[in-house]
Amino acid sequence: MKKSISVVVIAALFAVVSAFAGKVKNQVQTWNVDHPFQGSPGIYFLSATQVKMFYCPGANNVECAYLVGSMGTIIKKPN
Amino acid sequence: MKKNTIVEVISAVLVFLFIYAAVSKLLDFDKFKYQISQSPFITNISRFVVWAIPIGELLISVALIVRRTRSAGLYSAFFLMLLFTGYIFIMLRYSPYLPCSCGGVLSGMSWKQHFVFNLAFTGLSLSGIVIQDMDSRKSRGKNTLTGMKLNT
Repeated sequence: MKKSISVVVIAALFAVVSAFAGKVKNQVQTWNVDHPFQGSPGIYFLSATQVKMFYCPGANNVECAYLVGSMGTIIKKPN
Repeated sequence: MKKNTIVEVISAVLVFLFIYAAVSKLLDFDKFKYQISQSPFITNISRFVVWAIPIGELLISVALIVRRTRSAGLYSAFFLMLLFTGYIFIMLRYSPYLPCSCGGVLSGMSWKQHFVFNLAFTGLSLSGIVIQDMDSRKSRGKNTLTGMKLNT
């Protein structure tokens, strides 16, 4: 007999993924802020959300900051 | 929409809420432990509460996922939400100060917003109980009628 996955199980999986994603998003890491909108460039120990909010707000156009130890993880700001 | 489907959707929403909240608390356990210990009314039992809340939320989620225990899960969800809502009400009314003890996205809410949010979820779980009850009464009635037909 073919059984479909219950919507409740899908919701449970989504919840776990969202909680982990939220944790990663709010994790405090070391960021090198190259071209901040405000403040001076330098190394900041903040979460990605905080860096985006405080130093690189707005649309994602040009590089603003990158994660120290992982050059591929960048935060952008408008032109 | 079938009543069964409505109950399924309500259960899914509640499962999402409970698992999200429980996992967020467990991922940031030290922060959660600190915040609970700061709460004026539960400081003395905070050691118990820090484990009881996420474990309780996960157990209720399991009860909601399994069809056989869904009804018990809905009742437990309702009582837990009622407890949380009551706690927030008491905190808002009688606490000398308001610490934060929430996880994930929910931590961005003010206490008043959290109160309304909890009230909405309490109502949602109550409506789940009512619909589930109506559905099971209806199917019980059908079974009785079928039994009567078979007997005659």
